[in-house]
This record gives sequence, structure tokens and C-alpha cells, in this order.
Amino acid sequence: MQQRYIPPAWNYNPSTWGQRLPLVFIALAGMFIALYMGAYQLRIIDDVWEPFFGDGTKRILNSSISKILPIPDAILGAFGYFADVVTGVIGKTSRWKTMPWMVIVFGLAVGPLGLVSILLVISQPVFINAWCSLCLLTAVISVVMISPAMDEMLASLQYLQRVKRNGHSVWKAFWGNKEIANKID
Amino acid sequence: MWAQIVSILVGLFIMITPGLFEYDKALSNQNFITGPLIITFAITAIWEVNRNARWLNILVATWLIIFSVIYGNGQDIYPNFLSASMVIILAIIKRKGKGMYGGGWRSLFQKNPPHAEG
Repeated sequence: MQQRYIPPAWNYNPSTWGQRLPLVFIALAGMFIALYMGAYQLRIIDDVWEPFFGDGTKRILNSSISKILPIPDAILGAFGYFADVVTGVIGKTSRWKTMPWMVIVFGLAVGPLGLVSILLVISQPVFINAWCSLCLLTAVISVVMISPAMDEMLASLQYLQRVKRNGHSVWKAFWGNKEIANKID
Repeated sequence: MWAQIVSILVGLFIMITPGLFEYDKALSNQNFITGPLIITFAITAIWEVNRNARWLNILVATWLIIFSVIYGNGQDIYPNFLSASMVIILAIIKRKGKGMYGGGWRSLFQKNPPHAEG
């Protein structure tokens, strides 16, 4: 059954649960860590765990960079991970061709989140002169997710490329047109 | 894969080098910017589908060398030279590919991509 959904010239299906669930679980872990830091930023809790860098986490979570936007950056990060979880779960194991839009939204949710995490990691020592263990951990989570999410996106983009080559509507295929999905491999 | 894992370790070393060798702020910043980037591209390149991400580490390592010279001011910049050179060598190492990925990312720009043949 799984064999059917292996994209042409691939040797595995990037949309199987085995491929997607690990990402969903680490995104969930990222979401809980971000919520915990966000709870400190909102002063729902008074203290925040920091095993290595003294008051580094507090300095970073109270820094001006963390307050650039109207809501604390950790809460925004938690929303990002939540988007990863939702867009990672929705769709069957054939979704790279039956739901390209969801795969691409998933890829876009994972990619920019990874990028923002790295920019925040760089800004810690450069602008604030401090480090934050939990922030580094969430950054690693974000970066680890990039490649496993990108392979599915590649399969969807290649499918849309085949759709275009065969003269069908890329727009319709993007939104999961069944007729086109049945005609094109 | 081992080359990327060693790159990650070198990236970590780049991040702690300013502390170990007491770099000033301007030079430290180069390490704090390039270290996380090297780790990011190395992690991304572990997966075969994105193994070309390793080439970006050559750019980042070159940045570290150039800006270490510019901001060196008599400080011990040899650790940065050594780390950056290792990253460049590790980025060049090519792993034998097992996956096909329909021709990979470059297929999206090809006239006759492998995934559309046959």
C-alpha cells in the first residue's frame, strides 16, 4: 500500500507517519519549552530554569529584543511550533500529491522558524552578552526539523512541476484536485 | 555524515573560542555569528536531501577567516584559522548518496527532470 505513494524516482515516501510523527513530537517538545519560557515572560511563573549560564536566561527573556513585538517572543515561538504540529499531523500518507498546499505550509512553518531561532541564538551573545540554555535547546529543535520537513516539500514541488509539464492547472493541483492527482504520478 | 557531525563540534568550539582565548567584543562577535551558522548548515546537511547545504559552510568559514584578520588586532586568531580550515575541508568531503529524491532540488529547474521521465 505504501509503495503506491512513493514519488517517481524516489526510494521512499516522505509523507509516511514514520517520517512525520518524529517531527510532530519534537515540535510538541519545542512548544512546551517555549510556553514555559513565555509563562516567565508573562510573569505567570516567577523563576526560570537555567543550569549553566547564571542569570543568562532571565536577562535574555527580559531583554529589549524579546519585547520588540506586542507579545513575548517565546509565546510567538510556541505559536510557531503549534503551527508545525498542526500542519505536520493533517493529511494522509499521500499528502505530498493530494494536499500539496498543506505540505508547503508545513515547510514554510518549519523553515522560517528555524531561521528565526538561529538569528535569536546569534543575538544572545552579540547584543545581550548572555546565553540561555532553553533558548539554545529550542534552536536545536528548530534546526533539526528543517531537512526532514524539506524532503516532503521537495516531493510536492516536483509533483506540481509534473502537473505543469503535462499542461494541467498548477493552482488546482496545489489545492489538491483529485482528478489531476489521479492522472499524474 | 561523520563529516557533518565533526563540523557541528567545530562549530561549538568556534562559539566557545572567544571565552577560551579572551577575544575582544568585535572579534568575539564574528565567532558568535559564524559558529551557530556552521552548526545549522552542518545539521541541515546530515540529511541527504539537503547535503548541498554543506557548501554554505565554506562561505561562512571564509567569513570567519577574513574577519578574524580584520578584527584580529594582535589577538591569537590561529584557533579561528584552524577551525575555519577544518570546516572547509569537512564541507568538501562528499558522501556516497543512496537516495534518489527525484533528482533533488536542482530538478525543479531542469527541463527534463529525472522525476518526470518514463
